[in-house]
Amino acid sequence: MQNIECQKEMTIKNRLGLHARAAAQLVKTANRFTSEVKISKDRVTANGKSIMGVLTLAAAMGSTIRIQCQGPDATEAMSALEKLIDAKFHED
Amino acid sequence: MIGFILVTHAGVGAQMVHAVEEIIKEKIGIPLIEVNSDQPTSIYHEEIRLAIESLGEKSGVLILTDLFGATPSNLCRAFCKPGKIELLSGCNLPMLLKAATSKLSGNVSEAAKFLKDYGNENIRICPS
Repeated sequence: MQNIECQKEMTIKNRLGLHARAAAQLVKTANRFTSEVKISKDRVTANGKSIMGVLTLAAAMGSTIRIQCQGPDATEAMSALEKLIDAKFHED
Repeated sequence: MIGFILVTHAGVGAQMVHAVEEIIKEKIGIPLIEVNSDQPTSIYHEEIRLAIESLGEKSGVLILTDLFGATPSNLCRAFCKPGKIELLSGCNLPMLLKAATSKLSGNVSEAAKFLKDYGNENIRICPS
């Protein structure tokens, strides 16, 4: 199986930032894929498939996060996560 | 798989369950018993028994309570059987969220230890 690695920096645009419900949506999206998903902010890196992990980033609106996906469906996972963040988690 | 029930003081558990369900946008399916000090404890003893029974065949049952030594927790202690039905008190929102979203299986004592550590780790001081 192909092992793809990709990463991207994104800005959190929704007003409430990466709060609990947004984190849960992000994790639910990440869990649709087999690839490993890591989310980092500043020097903290969290498992993108864990709600509490993502919450530890405390990423408010305007903050920059780095998404790293690794695995056979990394490209698709990245694309789905990008869409979700761009759509402001369907909030605002 | 491990089955969970949540037993708390009146008003506590429902709000915790509500918060978790709002976050994950799903029903968590953990039976809840709220203990009101105005009612005789025998009622709750039966409710807890039925809640455990409702879980059906599980590799173990973990009873989550809010405060060790308080009535909800004390009522549950009567049901504890090492390795089968165990009690974890001091349940916080991270623990309930984890219990609701991860399919913990195997040994109930290990699941209890895992959730206890998880709850501790997610108590944070800011700025740290």
